[in-house]
Order: sequence, then C-alpha cells, then structure tokens
Amino acid sequence: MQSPIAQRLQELAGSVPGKIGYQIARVDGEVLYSQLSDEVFPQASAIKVPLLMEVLAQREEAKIDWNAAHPILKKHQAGGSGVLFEFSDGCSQICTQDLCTLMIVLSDNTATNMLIELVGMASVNQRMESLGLTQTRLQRVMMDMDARARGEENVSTPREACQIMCLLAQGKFINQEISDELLGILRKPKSTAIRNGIPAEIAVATKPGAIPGVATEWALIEYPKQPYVAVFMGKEGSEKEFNEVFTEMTRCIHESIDKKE
Amino acid sequence: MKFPRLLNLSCLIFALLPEMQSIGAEPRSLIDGCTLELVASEPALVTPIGIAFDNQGRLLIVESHTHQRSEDYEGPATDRLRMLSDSDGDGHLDQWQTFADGFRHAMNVAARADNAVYLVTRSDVHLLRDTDGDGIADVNDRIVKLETDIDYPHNALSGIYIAGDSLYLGVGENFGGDYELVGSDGRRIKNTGGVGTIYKCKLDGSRLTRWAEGFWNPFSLCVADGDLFCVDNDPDASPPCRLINVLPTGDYGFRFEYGRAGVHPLQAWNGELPGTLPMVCGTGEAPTAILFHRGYLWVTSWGDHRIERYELKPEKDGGYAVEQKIVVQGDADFRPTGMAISPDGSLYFADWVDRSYPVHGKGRLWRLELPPEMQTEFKSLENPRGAVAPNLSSLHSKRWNRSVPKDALPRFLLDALATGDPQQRLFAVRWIAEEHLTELLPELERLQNETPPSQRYYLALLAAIDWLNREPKQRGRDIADELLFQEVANPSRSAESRALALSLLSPDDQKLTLKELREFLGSDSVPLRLAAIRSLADRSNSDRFPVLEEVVRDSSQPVVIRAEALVGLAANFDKYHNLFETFTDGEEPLLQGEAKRILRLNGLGPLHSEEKPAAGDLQAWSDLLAEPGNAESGRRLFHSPVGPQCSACHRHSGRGGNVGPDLSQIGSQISRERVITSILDPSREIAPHFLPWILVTDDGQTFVGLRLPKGGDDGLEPYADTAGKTFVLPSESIAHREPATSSIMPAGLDKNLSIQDLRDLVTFLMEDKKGN
Repeated sequence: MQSPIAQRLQELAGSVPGKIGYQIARVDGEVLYSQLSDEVFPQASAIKVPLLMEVLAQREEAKIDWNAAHPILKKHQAGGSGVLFEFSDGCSQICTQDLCTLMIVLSDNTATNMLIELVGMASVNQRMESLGLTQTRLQRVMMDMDARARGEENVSTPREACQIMCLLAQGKFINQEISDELLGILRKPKSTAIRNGIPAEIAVATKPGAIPGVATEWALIEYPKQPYVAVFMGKEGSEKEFNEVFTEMTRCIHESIDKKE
Repeated sequence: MKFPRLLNLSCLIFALLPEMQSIGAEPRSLIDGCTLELVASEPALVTPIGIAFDNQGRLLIVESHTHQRSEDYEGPATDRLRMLSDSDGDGHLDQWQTFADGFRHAMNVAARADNAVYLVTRSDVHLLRDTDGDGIADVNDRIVKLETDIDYPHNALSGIYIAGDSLYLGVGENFGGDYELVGSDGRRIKNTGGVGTIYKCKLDGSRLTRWAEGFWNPFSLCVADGDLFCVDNDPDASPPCRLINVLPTGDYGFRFEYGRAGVHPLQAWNGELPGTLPMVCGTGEAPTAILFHRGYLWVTSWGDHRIERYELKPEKDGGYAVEQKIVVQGDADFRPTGMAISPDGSLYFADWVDRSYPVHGKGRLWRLELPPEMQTEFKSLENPRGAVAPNLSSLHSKRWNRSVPKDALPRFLLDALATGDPQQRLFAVRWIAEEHLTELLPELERLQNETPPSQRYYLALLAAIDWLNREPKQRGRDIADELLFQEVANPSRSAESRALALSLLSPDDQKLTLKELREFLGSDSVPLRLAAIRSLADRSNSDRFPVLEEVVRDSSQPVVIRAEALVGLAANFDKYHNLFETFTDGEEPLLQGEAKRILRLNGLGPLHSEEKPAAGDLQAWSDLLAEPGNAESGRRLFHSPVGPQCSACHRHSGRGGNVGPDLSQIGSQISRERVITSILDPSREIAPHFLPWILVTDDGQTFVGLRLPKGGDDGLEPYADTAGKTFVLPSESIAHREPATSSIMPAGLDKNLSIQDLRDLVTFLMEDKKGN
C-alpha cells in the first residue's frame, strides 16, 4: 500500500509527457521514495557532478594542479550555458579551481570540456566503476551533437545519482573534507527546480541539467532536522515541464519530511 | 641586525673544497671488480653536463658552450647535443656527430624508447626528433618553457625523468625569481618565492602539474620501483646536499625568499618544521646526476669528485636505512656531471674536469664496468610516510592546493592558530608568513606570550612576526633588531629565549645599553650571561672595555665568561697589554691560554718553534690536524678581533659578518679535510655564488666583486665588494669581465696560528649544529 506522498509523487511524475524517474533518500541511504530508479537517463549537465568528483580526486592524487592556469581555446568552446564560449581564442586563461566553479555555478560547457580534457573521460568512468556505479558514464563532451546523434550520451540512473549524493553527504568520497569541499561548490547559489521548492533558508547543494527533451537534478537538501537527497530525471518530454514538476514534487517531499520531523 | 665591526681583506671566505687528493691523480675505482676507462676527452667533447643513451645504444651528450662564457672563449656559439655511436659494430663508441645545436644554458638530456630526445635548458624543454635517420635532429618542438626575468645559467630547469607516459621535471630556486612554467598546451603554473619544485607533465609537455616543492635545485631525478628520487643541491649554509625520496605534494622546506643561506627559522632542510619532509640522507657536494641501476641508486658528486652508490633498505618507521659506498674517487680535476646506463650495463659519466664554472674547453667521458655480482634488491617502502603527519593532512592539502578562498583564509588560519596542537599552530604560522597575512600579526604576537614548546618554535614564530612586519623589499633578511630587543627586554620570556634573541641582536643596537648588558651578566642563567658578554665584546663603542675588564677581573663570574671578556679586550690591545701579560701567569689555565694567544697573535709573547708542513702539503696538514681540538677555544678564535678575524666576513650561529658564506652548519656540510684545505688554500675551489669577478670599465677602472642576484635587465649590475658593500655598474660600461681565479680570502693564515689554534678552529667549525 503506497503512502499518500508516494502516490502524489507518482501522480505528479505522470502529469507531464515523457518519463520521470526519481529517488529520494535519507543521507544514510534509506530510500524514501523512488520510481524508475534503475532506468538509464541522459544527464545533461548533472553529469558534471561525477566530473567534479574526478577533478578533486586527481587533485588529491597530485595528478592535476588546482592553480594551473589553462588557456581558453576555441577547441574547447561549446555553446549552451556558460560564458567562456564568448572568450577570444587563446587570449585568456583560467585556473582549474575557477573552471570547477564555472562548471557548477554557470554550468559552463566550455569549462566542462576543458576539465574533461584535463582529467580524461575514461578516468571519470573508472572512478565511477570503482565506486560500484556501473550506469553512470561520461561519454561525450558538452554540446557534441554528432556524438549525441551516435547515441553517445552522458548517462546515469536515479539510484546511482542518489548513491553519489549520499556518498558526498556522508563525507565518504575520498574523505570528509573533500566531500565537504565538493558540496561547497555545489552549494553555490543558483536557481534550480529543486532549489525553488525548498525554503530559502535551507542550504541546497545541487546540480541541474537540461537539454532538449531532458531535465535532471541531483541535490542534497541540507535540512537541519533531516538532511536528504533528491534526484529527479526526466526524458522524452519537455525540460520546462519536467522542471516545473520537479519543483512541485520537491515541495511535496519537503512538506512531508518537515511534518514528520 | 648589523655588524659594525670594520671589515678588512683578511676576511675568511670559505670555499667549498674537494676531498684532498694528490694533484694529478686519475680517478680510480674503489671497489674490486669495477673497471674504469677513459672513453673520450677534449677536443672530442668539452664541458659536458647531462648524458643519456638512446635505444640504439648511441650516447647523447649535452655539451655546454654558454655557461658563464667569457668573451675570449673560442668554442661554438651555442650549446650542442653531441652523439657518440658505434660506427662499425665492434662494441666501441667511436663516431661523433652533432645531433642538435643552437641551445643556451643547456643542462640535461633524456631519450625516449621511440628515440625522441628531450633536451633541457635552464629555460625550456625541447623535444627533438630525427625523422630521416641521418643522426641529426630535424624536428625541434619546444614543449615546456620557463618564463622569468632571471638569467642565471643554472638553478632553473634541469632534472628530467621519463616515467611511462609522463615526464618529471626539476626546477631550482631560479635565483629567487618568480617564474611561470608553461606547457605545450598553454597551461601555466606560477612559482613565487624561489621554491624549487618538481613538476609532472605528459610526454608532449601538456597537463603540467606541481608534484613536490621546497627544493634548492633538484638537479637530477630517477624512479626506483615506482618511487621518485632526486638529488638536491644545498643552499649556501644549510648542508648537506640531499638525496630525497620525492613524495607527491611533499614540501622539502626551502624557500629562497627567506634568504639564500638556508638558515632562516622558517626554512627547513631535513624536516625540522611541521609539514616538511626529511631527506633520505646527505650526498657528496654538488650532486648532478642520480640513476637507479642494479638495485642501487648512483649519484655523481661534482664537488667531491666521486661516484657514490646508495643501497636503501626500507625501515619500519617509513624511512630508509642507507649504506653509502664511494665507487669512484678522483682528484680536483675530476668533476662528474651526467651519468647514464649503457645497453651492456656499464655506467658512463661525463666529466667537467675543471673547477671553473665558466666553460673552459676541457671535458672527459668515462665508462665504469661493473662486476656481475654487484646487484642488490631494491624494495620500495611498504608503509611510506605520507606527505605529512595525519594531524597536518587537512592543513597540508588546503595549503598545497590553495583551496581556501583568499577572503576566508585569515579566518581559517586563525582557527588553526587556536588549536592545542603546536605542530598545527606552527604549520599555520609558516603559512601566514608565506601568504603575507599581516592582519594576523596580533595573533602571532599573542602566541609569542605563551611558553614555546621548543626553541625552534620560538624562533620560527619570531621570524614570522618579523617577516610580516617588514616592507616586502626588506624581507628575506635577519630578524629585525627592534623585535629582537623587545624579546630580550621582556622579563616574561625564559632566560633561554632571551639569550637566543640577544645572540641575534646587533650588539650596537641603540636600545641595548650597557646597563642592560650588566644586568644580564648578573643573571642566574649562564646562556644569558654568555650571550651578554659576547654582545658586549662585539660592540664597537669603546665604553665596552671597562665593563669587559671588570668581568675579566671578577672571579665570581664563570671562567668561560671571563675568557670571552678577555678576548673582547684584545680589540684594544695596546691599552690592555699589561693585563694580558698578567694573565699569562694566572692560575686559571683557560684565561692563561687565551692571554698567551692574544699576545702571540699580536706578535708578542713566546714565538713558535713548531715545525709546520708547507702550506701546499695538504695531506701533511690533514694528518697534523686530525687530532681533535677544543671547540670553545676555536669559537673564541673565530670571533676574536685579532688573528684570522673569521667573523669579520663569516657568520656563525647568528654572530659575524655576511660577506662570505654563513658557516653555522659547515660541520655537517663538508669533511674535516675540506675545512682544513679551505683555510690553507682558499683559492683552490670557490663556490659558484662566491666567485669574484674582475671588471674593467670603459674608463679603465678595475673592480672586483661578487655578482648579486637581480631580476630583470635594466642595464645595471649589482655587485658586493670585498668589504661586503654593494656597488652597481652599468652593463654598457663594463669593457672587460672575467672570473677571478683567486678567492678574496687571503692565503697564509697558517703563518700566525699555532697548530693547536688550527685544531681548535677546525674542531669548532666541524661541530654539528643541527641539533641546535
């Protein structure tokens, strides 16, 4: 017998065209609500979370330099979100740390592509594999429409994305400090579907993503009474509609948790 | 801190000298079964540095023609990469050709399995390829460059090692100058503060990253069983040169901005400061190559004229036990530089031959055949130390990555200062100094009020306060007298701390009055009394003499204090002549001995009837002075205003002049024999930073001076004269320049000193001060 909240979430998820998967869990991993949790979804910009994890991991392994300045080159530039796309070829430089910030805060695709080149796509996937995550894969750079047409998509599932966010919330990705640092970057202010469904005074570490037909968001809601992870993924529909539903679902979940606590 | 004593030409410039060998002896193997042969010599090759074999068994040799090149040097205009190959397959390298040329300040070479060759100069890394197989490189890609204003010929890029798909690159302190290292993909890494650093990048020069830091000049690198090692040359006064197991993100303690000597309290050389790592062991002087072969690490020592072999065994504490053997020893004309393993397993090493740093047209190449049984097993550490102790790992990670946002850093470090862990506090203190966070000065001053857990902690904290109090251009010098005086005058400080501060304070500091020194002389603390009497003796004002006389005559003072006072009075010999005479008959042997020595050094008293070897017979001198002397007596002689007046130019334990090298730790730097040689034959070898230049200007004036480091090229060249004073010459006005062949330290010091004096002096200098 489903709880009224679970039922309501299903209703909301079914209220728009396309497929919506989600997983809501306490930070200890206990799943509260889920749907299509093992369905593979394109991730759009949410895949930048595993990439950020790899950057920090390689930094800790002294494989990359957090303060190295990288030239902004035409070959990395990708449209869509961000600002580095507007920069002149080879005229400016930016350090690794700032690339990470831009990748998350502005979802800058050029910064993302520069970081992918820096750490290597295979390394990101190996890191996911080492964490037991078999469905979360970075398979193309941002805005590579040819690759997308070939079916080379950046993917994950609600379950694996939720595991990743729980891992970070538990301080178990490398160590507590690195996990905290990563969450600190995700926490930087931005407007997202989940963020819009949570009272402003509650911190949310989150990364959304959207491409035509797809919307995703991975979030840790740092509700002091009961921190929890919320992952939403939608495909084969309208990203705008998905995001509106994600906000509504978030409100519904948060109210429920707030009442329980 | 100033040292007002008049400097004169009798100042004692110590040169870094070789083990004494009879002149003219060929290098020889010291291990049975090894065979050493000369493969080639000039004019086939001259002034070689790095060497490497390619996978066709051809030997590549960096041949320098630009290192401190004099105007009358007649060799090629640029450095060359020579190649020596076996033309007829008889197993002998016999055919020379030039693989590439056109380089300036070339240092090192490494060959890839695909026969692409890396040529390293002080300012770039070239990737050379011979695509048509004619033995001449026809592709030259500059894959890494070092952008800086500094143009000193070495101490920048030099070390290189190919490890799988990566390169390790060693960069020295760049004479303290800032630089940016730029990879082939345009990525840049800034380096400030003169921090020798090892970088890693891909084989094409892309993806540069820092790997470890805190070196002076990591001249050469190698990997043994996955572990990276380097040899690091030592700063002026912080020996020895180091064999280092290079850990990722490791900090090995040296920053040029705190001073070139390497004795600043915020510098570490053997893991003395929290967050810094120790060396594996010291090596011979001026190591220029390291490689891993048959389970051993092999090191060339340019300054000690030898090839060293190190056997490392892992220990439970996370370090290595080390056994060193000297495999080849030469004389002063054996200057091994680069080293390479030939396909047949023998070792080849290049030989610079001459002590002269400027290129000189000499050069040799040697081959050392090793017996088959010379083999050991190298095991890397099972439980290697981390880059830092666990209690510092969080701080270290944030410092290394500079991941704390700038605006949050003061608050973050404030929290670190508030911890109960003195190691974390001291780590934070050093970080605050590095970041020049002057807003945290009050917090450091507050810490100064707490009981320091160690003298090192106290000095480091004091040095950080001083550092932050200074204008940027004034940094890198000694701790300011004003701060030291505050410490000396602070009754809440321990007597030991006050003595330490007093020993560093200029004796002529205006606030340091005779009244205060008298008070200290009445202290219960002997260290404080000693510091006070030494300060008194070093003052330039003549009002010190009555107080010194008073102390000499005060039998309630410890005799060591009275002896210091007696030596101090020697600066006014004529007035106290009778007093010295009196003490020659006194009951205290120590005072009697000092009085006799003062008379003797002034040409009075009993003349010496000792038979002495000829000044050039260094072996006889070495034998004669092998017997230990009295270090305290030697220290008084070192600082005495009569006799050799060593401290007029040299500093020791914070006391003395600064024209020549600081000798505080020379005992752990060079051998007793080399110290003796330095005293008796100071021009035999001169350390590069103390090489005087003879400069003749357009208008016919001649100057002699030591070149001072300076960034940029504004057409002016700063020098220090023999009295330590700076003078500046416009580059255009210098019509002729050449390196002097003689040290400005005078020869003939043995004439006035007794054998016992020399024994005492050598014993004092050889004392290991590391513990202090």
